[in-house]
This record gives sequence, C-alpha cells and structure tokens, in this order.
Amino acid sequence: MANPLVRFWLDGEERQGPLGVPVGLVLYGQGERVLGWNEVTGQPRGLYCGIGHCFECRLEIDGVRDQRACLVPLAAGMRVCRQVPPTPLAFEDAP
Amino acid sequence: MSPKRFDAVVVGAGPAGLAAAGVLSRAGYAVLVVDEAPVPGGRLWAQWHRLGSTVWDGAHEVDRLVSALAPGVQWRLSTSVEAIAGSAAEGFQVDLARGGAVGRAVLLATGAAEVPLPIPGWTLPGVLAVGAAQTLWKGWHIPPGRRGIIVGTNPLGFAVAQELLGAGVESLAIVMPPPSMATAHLGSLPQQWDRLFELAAGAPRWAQPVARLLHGRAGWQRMAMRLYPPGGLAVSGARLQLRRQALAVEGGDCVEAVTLQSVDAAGLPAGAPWTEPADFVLLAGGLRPLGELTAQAGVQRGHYDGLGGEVPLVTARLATSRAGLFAAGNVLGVESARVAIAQGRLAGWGMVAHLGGSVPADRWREAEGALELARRDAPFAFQPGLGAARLRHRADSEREVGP
Amino acid sequence: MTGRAPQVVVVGAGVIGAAVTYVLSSAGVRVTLVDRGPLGGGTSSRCDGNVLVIDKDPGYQAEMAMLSQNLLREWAGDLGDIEYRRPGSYLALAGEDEEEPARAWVDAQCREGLAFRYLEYEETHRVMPDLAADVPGSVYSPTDSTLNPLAYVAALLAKSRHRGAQVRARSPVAEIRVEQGRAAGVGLADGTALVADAVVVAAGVWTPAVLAPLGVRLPIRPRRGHLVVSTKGPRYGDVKVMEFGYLMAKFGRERVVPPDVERFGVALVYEPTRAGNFVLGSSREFAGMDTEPDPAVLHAIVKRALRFYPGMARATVLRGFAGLRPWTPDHVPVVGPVPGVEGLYVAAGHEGDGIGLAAVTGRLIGDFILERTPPLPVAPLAVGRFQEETAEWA
Ligand SMILES: Cc1cc2nc3c(=O)[nH]c(=O)nc-3n(C[C@H](O)[C@H](O)[C@H](O)COP(=O)(O)OP(=O)(O)OC[C@H]3O[C@@H](n4cnc5c(N)ncnc54)[C@H](O)[C@@H]3O)c2cc1C
Ligand SMILES: Cc1cc2nc3c(=O)[nH]c(=O)nc-3n(C[C@H](O)[C@H](O)[C@H](O)COP(=O)(O)OP(=O)(O)OC[C@H]3O[C@@H](n4cnc5c(N)ncnc54)[C@H](O)[C@@H]3O)c2cc1C
Ligand code: FES
Repeated sequence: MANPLVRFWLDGEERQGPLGVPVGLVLYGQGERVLGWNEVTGQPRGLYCGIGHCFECRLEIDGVRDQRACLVPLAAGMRVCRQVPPTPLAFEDAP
Repeated sequence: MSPKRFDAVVVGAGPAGLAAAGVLSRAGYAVLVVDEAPVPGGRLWAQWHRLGSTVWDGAHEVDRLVSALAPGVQWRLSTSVEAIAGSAAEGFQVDLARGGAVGRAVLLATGAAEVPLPIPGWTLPGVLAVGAAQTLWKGWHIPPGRRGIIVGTNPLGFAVAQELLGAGVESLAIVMPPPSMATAHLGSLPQQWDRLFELAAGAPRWAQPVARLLHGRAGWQRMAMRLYPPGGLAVSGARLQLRRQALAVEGGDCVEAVTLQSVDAAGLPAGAPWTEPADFVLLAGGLRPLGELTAQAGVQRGHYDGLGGEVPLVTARLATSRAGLFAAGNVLGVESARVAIAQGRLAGWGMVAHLGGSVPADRWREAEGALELARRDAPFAFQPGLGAARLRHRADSEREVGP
Repeated sequence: MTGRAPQVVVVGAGVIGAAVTYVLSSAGVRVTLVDRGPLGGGTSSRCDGNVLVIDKDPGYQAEMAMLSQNLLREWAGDLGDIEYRRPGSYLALAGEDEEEPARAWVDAQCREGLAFRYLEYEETHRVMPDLAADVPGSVYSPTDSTLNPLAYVAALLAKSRHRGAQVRARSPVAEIRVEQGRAAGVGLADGTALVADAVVVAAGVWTPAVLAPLGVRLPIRPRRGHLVVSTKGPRYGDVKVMEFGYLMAKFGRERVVPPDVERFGVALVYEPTRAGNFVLGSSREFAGMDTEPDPAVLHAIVKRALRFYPGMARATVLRGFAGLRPWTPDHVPVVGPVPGVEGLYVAAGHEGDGIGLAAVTGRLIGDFILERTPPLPVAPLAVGRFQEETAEWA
C-alpha cells in the first residue's frame, strides 16, 4: 500500500514525498545522496546504516539540528535543511 | 514533571523486546516499550528470506508480536535511551530527557549493529552498510540503485542480495574486501574463504553452489579456489566473485565506480586493477551486539568472537549481574530473529518472577524448549564458532552470575 | 658527565614527559620514556588546550608563561599540525563589580611589559557578538594561543621517536633505582630494569606516589576539573573566552555566584575546536583520584556557560569528562633536581597550566641535565621549597 504524498521543503525548495517514510530514505530515493559534509574535511556524507547507528545522516528538521534523518518520518510541511559545516577558525584574530 | 512508574520498561522494540512485552503485559504487568525508531519491529521488520519452499516475512512476524500484546502497553517511540540509572530497589530510570520513566525491572533488548568495513572511499554517499539496502528495499520499496557491488562475504550480504531480486538492480556482484589494517581482523583471503565454507556447510540456498563445489570436504578449499570461475558464480541473483577484491570506491560527490583486482588461488593479486562503474556499494562487515547500553548500565560482560563481540553474562533465565536488569535478543550474541523471540519470551518470564509473579513450571519448560528449537532450526549462523561460544558464555555466566 | 651520550629515563608520557623527551632527544640525548598506561592517557588527554598568560599572576608566573608561549611558537613549525592558533584570549566580566579589579589586573600586567588591554562594552560585544548583553566589558591578551593537547602530545612523541627516543606504553615504573646516592635507572613492574644516568619523574598527580618509596614527599594533590563537549554545530565565536571570575576561583578569592557554581569551583571557559565542536569548562574541586564524571558538576558548567552565552540553549551536549590537575600549594610547578639524589629530577605540579607550560618545562629540564644556563630563575620551582607544607600534609 503506497503512502500518500505530502509537501515538504529541502533547503527551501518545495518537494513531494511519501508520508511516514524516514526523511533520509525519502531523500535517498529521490537521488539526494549527499545529506551533509564532514565538519573537518568538508567531504560529502550521506545515508549509511539507515537505522540510527552511524549519525552520518544528520539534518536540521523543523529547526532542530542533528536529527538522524533515517529515524524521522516525513510529515506534511516539514522543513528539512542540510547542515553547512562551520567556516575554518582564524589563525590570528585581533579585535 | 515527575516520572511515570512502570513494572517493567523494555528498551528496544525488536523481536526480543516485543516478545518480552507480550509475556509481561499478558501476565498483567504495566509495561513501557521504548524505541528510538518511529515504528516497532527492530531489524525483524525488513527481513525477508526464502527458506526452502517457505518464506520468512519479518513484517508479518512483527504484526503477530504486536497484536499479541495485551491492551494497555505504553509506547515511547522516537525516543533514544542513553543511560539507565538507579537500582531495582529504588526503580531504574530511563528516558531522562522527557521527564523520565521508572521501571522496577528493565529489559535491555537493543539488538545488533553492523561492523564497519572501512575501505578507501567508504564515506562517499551511495556507500551503504549492507543492512541499509534491506531497510530501503524490503522496508520502504526504495531501490538502492542500479549497479551495485557488495564488499565482504558474510551471511547478511548474501541474504540482502537475495532480497534485492525484483528491486530493479541490473547488476550486482559480491567481492572480497581489500587487504588493509582496517580489514586485518577478517584475516587473509584464504582464511575468509575457509570461514565462508565453514558457514556454507549449514548450506542455506545462497551457499549451495559453493557447498557443491566443496562436497563438504575439508582440505578441498585450495582446489576449489583454483577451479573457481573468474567471472564468479551466480548466487541468488548476484555474481559471487570470490577471486575479486574491491580496492577502493571512486567518485566525486557520490559513488561512481569501484576499483577491482583479481587474485589467484592463494589470495594474492594477479594482473592489473581495473574500475567498474557502480552507483551503490554495500559493505558487509558482519554484525556485533550493540553493547553501549549494557556497558553503561554496568552489567558484567564477556567477549565472545562466535557471538559477535562483547555481551552481558546472564543466568539461564536471562538475568544480568545487576538485579532487575535483564537482556534478550542480539545484545546477547548475534543469532536469528526466531532465537531473539524465544529469548524475549524467556526474559519476559524471568521478569515476571523477579516482579514477584508465579511462573508455572511448564511455562519455563516451554520457553526454554522454544529457544532450543529456534537454535536448532536456525537457517544459518552469522559467525562460525557460534555453538562453542554459546557454551563458553553459558559456563562463564554460570560461574559469574549464577545458573 | 662522561664522554658517551647520557642515557635518561623519563617517567610519565603526559604532556610534560613528552616535552622533556622532545627537548632531550632533539639535543642528542638517548631517552627512554615509559608510561604505565596508554601514551598521553593521564590528565593531558582530559583538558583544554589553552596556552595562556592572561590568567597568570604578574611577575614570575607571567614571565614563565610568556617564555613557554614563545618556545611553542618555535616548536609549532617543527611539530606539524597540532591545531595551533594564536587568536588571543578574553576574560569576560560577569558584573560591574568586576570592572575595578579587571582594570587593575590589566594595569599590573602592562607595568610588567605585557600587551594586555581592557575592552569597553562596545568593543567587547563587537569581538564577541554572542555574549550576553549585560556583560560590561572584557580583558584581552593578544599573545595567548591554543592547540589540540592530544595532537600536541602525539607530535612531541613522534618527533622524539624520530630522533631516537624509545617510547614504551603500558610499562608501570615500580621503583626508581638509586645507587650510591645517584639515580641509576628504574625498575618496571614486570621486573625489567632500565639503566640510566638520569631519571625525570613527570607523572602528574601520581608523582608523589612514584617518589614516596625514596622518602621524597611532595604536596601535589589532584584538583579535579570537568569539561563538557558540544556536538559539531554552530559556534559562539572563534575566540577563546573565560570569565574574569576564573581568576577568583583559581586563587581562592571571593566571588558572588550561585551555590553549585561556588561549590564546584565552576568558571566559564569557552574554547572552539577545529573539528566543529566547542569545549566548555570547567570546575575545580578536591575529590580524590575519582575521574567518573559527576552530572551535577556538568550541569553547573552548562548553567554557567548559559549565563554568558544565552544562545547556547540551542546547542547539544555530546559528552562530559573529568581530569585531575596536579595542584601545588603555591600554584607554581615543581621543576628541578631532587636534593640528595644526584641525577633525579621532578617535572610535575602544573595544575591547570601543564599544556601551556610544557615547553618551558622541557627546556628547563634539558638545561639541568645538559648543564646549560636556564632562561629564568629556578629557585621558585625548586623541589625542596615545600618543607613546611609537606610536614602538614604528611
Ligand atoms: C542491519 C541488520 C540486518 C539484519 N538482517 C537480518 C536478516 O536479514 N535475517 C536475520 O535472521 N537476522 C538479521 N539481523 C539480525 C537481527 O539482529 C535479528 O534477526 C533480530 O532482529 C534481533 O532482534 P532484537 O530484538 O535482539 O534486536 P533488533 O531487532 O535489532 O531490535 C532492537 C531495537 O532496539 C532499538 N534500540 C537500539 N538502541 C536503542 C536505544 N539506545 N534506545 C532506544 N531504542 C534502541 C532499535 O531501534 C531496534 O528497534 C540483522 C541485523 C542487523 C543489524
Ligand atoms: C579540566 C581541565 C582543563 C585543563 N585545561 C588546561 C588548559 O587549557 N591549558 C593548560 O595549560 N592546562 C590545562 N589543564 C592542565 C593540564 O591538563 C595538566 O597540567 C597537564 O596535563 C599535566 O600533564 P602531566 O604530564 O604532568 O600529567 P599527566 O598527563 O597526567 O601525565 C602523567 C603520566 O604519568 C603516568 N604515570 C603515573 N604513574 C606512573 C608510573 N608509576 N609509571 C609510569 N608512568 C606513570 C600516567 O599514566 C600519566 O600518563 C587542564 C586540566 C584539566 C583537568
Ligand atoms: S544513516 Fe546511520 S544514523 Fe542515519
């Protein structure tokens, strides 16, 4: 039985996806392999374990950071954002 | 907010946790089931195996376990348990983040996790732990991709290959992992082949071509590998290429190809490496009991390779070294879901007895018998040496925590 | 010393033992460094990475810290990537009552020739826009630097090995062997003897235990400190910020704060890391050798951080841990020869400054062993200076 489609937003862009399916898996199915970037190396990261163990799929969902996207079911109107890694720290920083 | 009180808190709604919750709730106890996933079922839910002429359909088994719960069982889904505090006397506290819940007894049933197989390029999006493909396709009907390579030869990899039939995957190969420090624990290629043949002796469907090659005879492995077809053997819809190694996953922003290398019958590289296009890679590094919570809870544990790693020592009725804390399912060692269900029932009765209920003798006999049966009928073992490890675990447990 | 290259055994592979080994092996001395546990597994892996002058008493302590900062600047080029940065550091004020003492602190340091500045309200909030609006001002020290302490210890050990040092983990020292009034080496718990011309004890809070069998008593006590680490996420500024009250806690001066903050000696330390987490500190307590984190202390640290950074309410805690600072009664480390046992040296008792003072400590021990002229007076660091206190502790 197919889940009904609902609207949601990925990085501000409107999309449709199956209600109740974990967000990280929905995005994988839509070809969105890259879910974030390693905070130190900047290398892309995506879904890995699919069951909450690896923490590689963290997204900001409805304003809350670091949600494991493979554990959060898609809901209507959800706002999903990829988390941008911090900028490098300045070597010297004088006021 | 003052914490809610329960007779029993079950952490993990996989087959073990659900089975225990069934026993406890039907015996009239107030039960809370906590799981970090949004739906119950754990790893059972997306399992799907053809066993001879029958099919093991995990989703169906989950439905059965859930409908066997007595009404009134409370749920906290989408809730991670990070710590267990307190004691049997004052009550165990879990789920501190949301005002807490207190249980007079707690079941640790958090299951197993996949062991990482870190090969070069493994962090590229599109590289998945092999179980993720099971969750994607059998769970949610999302195909993992079109051209895939499974790295590593462990039973879960073969099971997933079989499950992916019908997922629209055009090409799927199973190859060996590359030699490196990160894969050293797997041993040399000939050692990995040996292990595979040992597991194949139990011969589920996927292993039959391999088993046939061997005729179950020891010492034939070298010969078999010399005769092994370079293009691999067809095994449940995938090509099993035992004489190929994946050296690295290649790609810019996600998986585009895999660098492969042929090996000779001694497992040594033969010829130059080449790349083959792929849009997904599944790493099959094996399973280990998820031990974080059992470590945090401070129960006595031991290490058993045959069980997959570090597991609590438990009495025959699955009580840990801390009074009131029980364990069941894959936290006690990686075995099949049917074993987890039987352990869950047994632990459920153990908890009933701990809570002061009376358990008729035939209940124990029934539960212990079901566990034995599930073990005997297991379609395959996840690690070689399971039987011996179980005996050692039992003996150590008896000595350290009691019969 | 005789014609052949001297042989030295260093006990303890924390930051201090590692720095001593680095200096000696760079000078061609044959060194064996032994630790009873994993390398760097003591206090040096349970700490921040601040290399500070800002909180040192003007005069000797500040001079010693400056020397260490300058040495570290030279070493950083040799050591490779240790996440070394020089962003300066800041002390934020909790209330207007701290303004006068803070200005006096700046004046005193400037009189000693240091480039401290008092930043008024506007400038404070321009540099640290995430600070609570009611922070009245701050103190700024431009030379202060920071590094990753684990990477620092690892790099010191790697370079030392490269220069011929032997480094042995999981080798507890059971005794220091003394023959005819001279240090002759150490005996390991497994019975192995390591022969040496000199022995340096750099065992942090365990130093008194290592020396006790020789009848040498040192009043070094474990002053526990907790730290909290955030998950990777938004930062609350690139610069390192402590609270001015930090100094009050450090020197036991009076401070007006909530009871748990007072009880656990909590004062804000905010340190962003390259990995994208930030570290919050810290507490100061005498609680024995127990390093099991106490949730009440972690809670007090987070509460204190929110006083200065209300926006942190959105951040997530990843973990917390505790380490044992090797405290001394006068807040000055013990660096020098042990009277009465030739060739035996102590380098310990750096309390909350071991990372920062490791470079100068290594240099001083090198100067003692190689009979070079030390860059600053060594009497305040002497092993024998505690006679009276030691009697009290005994
Ligand atoms: C990826 C994967 C695939 C597998 N596939 C197969 C297969 O195809 N066939 C087979 O026979 N066996 C398979 N197994 C083995 C499987 O573990 C058992 O079959 C069975 O599901 C074990 O049951 P369980 O109840 O012990 O644990 P699980 O079924 O793993 O259930 C544990 C539950 O605990 C929850 N949990 C874990 N930690 C926490 C926490 N801290 N807080 C809250 N909840 C938590 C999890 O979300 C999960 O729902 C697989 C295992 C894994 C890891
Ligand atoms: C919370 C906290 C924050 C801190 N922040 C900072 C900071 O920002 N800046 C700063 O400069 N300092 C800081 N410090 C202080 C700093 O961490 C210490 O001063 C420094 O790490 C001490 O180093 P050490 O080498 O003397 O001791 P340790 O690192 O403890 O090393 C001693 C070693 O000796 C070994 N040992 C003990 N007994 C034996 C034996 N019998 N045989 C062999 N080996 C033995 C131990 O295993 C250990 O590895 C902080 C400390 C804490 C607790
Ligand atoms: S994919 Fe591993 S935690 Fe979500």
